[in-house]
Amino acid sequence: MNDLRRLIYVPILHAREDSGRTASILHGNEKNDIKNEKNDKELSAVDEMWDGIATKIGGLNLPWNQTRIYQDGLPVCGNELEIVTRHAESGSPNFLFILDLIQKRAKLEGTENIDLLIREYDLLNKLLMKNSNKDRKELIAEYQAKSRELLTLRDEFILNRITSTLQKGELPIVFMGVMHRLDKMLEKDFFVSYVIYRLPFRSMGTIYNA
Amino acid sequence: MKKEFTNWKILLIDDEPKLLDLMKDVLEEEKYHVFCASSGSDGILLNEQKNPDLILLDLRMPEMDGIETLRNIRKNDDKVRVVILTGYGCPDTIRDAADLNVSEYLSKPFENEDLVSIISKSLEL
Repeated sequence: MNDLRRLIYVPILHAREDSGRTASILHGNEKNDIKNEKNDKELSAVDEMWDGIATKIGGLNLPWNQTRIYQDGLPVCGNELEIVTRHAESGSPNFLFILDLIQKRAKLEGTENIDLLIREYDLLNKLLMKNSNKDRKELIAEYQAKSRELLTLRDEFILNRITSTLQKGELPIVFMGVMHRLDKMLEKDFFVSYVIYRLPFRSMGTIYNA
Repeated sequence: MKKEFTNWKILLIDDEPKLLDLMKDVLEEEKYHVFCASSGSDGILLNEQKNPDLILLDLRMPEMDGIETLRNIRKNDDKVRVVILTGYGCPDTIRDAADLNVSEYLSKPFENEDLVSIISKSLEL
């Protein structure tokens, strides 16, 4: 008999302003974060993606007081709510949505290994700063190659985090960047329901979603 | 004032005739030039013949699925914009689609106005 627990998995694209901000908050150099030049089209694409996700998830009528949230890039650090709030205050639709779920009584869980996140941030920052004139495709390929190993380590940590923190009767909801392969790992322990509306790759760029 | 046809050409690739007809009507209403293919292999051929600006590509098709179709298209055409349509989205196909440089990945069902808006934005980028 199949008695796998249900898990809601939401593949997301990272907005430019979200990428690396958590690490920079932890570093204490938020103002010196990767330079972000947002344009109207990118902002509109991000907002529309999250509006679609919110509508789809709203339609699921989930039991929020029995739901535990796991978020890509959110470290286990004791300041999880503060990080979410600061992202939300800066206008991140991703974290505004998370904050909305918390207000509906969903529980927030630190999800990622802080050291791995900082390594990831440093890698991305280094590449963007030092290779600004390189061809975009070459830049992405270089970043992908180096971050692949880190991503596997991050996914292994997240899997362990979910299985070790989820309480009996709780429903996990996981917001994770599309290039993570956590979904493959989770399918062994959970019945995974995917929530996907639209993923505007071209509008949002790819290096932050590599 | 009568709306003029645009210069944009769109290729629809989907094995469901009803959906193909519906999307064709919606897009012609918006004055796009629309071509239809009901299989991946027909789509590859039409892409070569018509050189569209954008392809709307269904993922789940018999014989040749959307990802395989797009892999073949990308062998000779790395420029055409592609919007993926799917009723069975999962991260595996999302990653494949991202590797093949798609503009957008859209889950069915969707509103016609959303589709028109996404196409318009994809063509402007």
